Amino acid sequence: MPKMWRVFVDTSALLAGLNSTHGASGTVLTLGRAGKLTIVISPDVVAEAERNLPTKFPLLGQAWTTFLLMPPVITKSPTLAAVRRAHQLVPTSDAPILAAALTAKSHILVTLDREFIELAHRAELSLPVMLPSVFIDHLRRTTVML
Amino acid sequence: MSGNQLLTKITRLEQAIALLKLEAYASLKKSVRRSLPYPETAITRAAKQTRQDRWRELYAKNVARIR
Repeated sequence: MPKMWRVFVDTSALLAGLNSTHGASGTVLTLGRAGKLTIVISPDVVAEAERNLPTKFPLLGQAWTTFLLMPPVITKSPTLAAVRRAHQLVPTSDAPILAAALTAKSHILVTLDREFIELAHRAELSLPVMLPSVFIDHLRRTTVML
Repeated sequence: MSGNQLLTKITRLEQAIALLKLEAYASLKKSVRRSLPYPETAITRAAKQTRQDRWRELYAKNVARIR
């Protein structure tokens, strides 16, 4: 178990965490803010969030600003070669996210996209991809947080 | 109280809150979930759609070309 988890937060989990601090995604973000985890995102995640927030989820704008002030680790954009390699593992539009998470040496990737989780599982990645709730349950069972 | 002492206290409070939330999550009632600003399904759907749009805009041709 890592001393300090580096958790790559996919856009779906990030927006869900901004939407509800009470749920599993919100708990992941809170643990990041408390310095118990390192939250990692990529420029693609930022772009996806910023494309949705003003038009579809305007009530989350302030939570988004607060989140950015945490601040999370924002990786560099993945190279095209890294995206290509990731696309060979998970041949969907999630490849740039997977590439960034792998390049950033994340310990885990949390997402609400079950198809992404299923494909990642089938690809037998070294990087576990799971629902935030599954990760939180894992933490509750295995970690003494304070 | 100095600024540093205040920051330390705030950090400890945040850590305590994080731990409490971790415990509370297990017993979270569905009624809390129903009071969210936006339904979770709307969020996951929007995130997926945006990802597919950006993939087509930014990556699809380039990844196909170098495969």
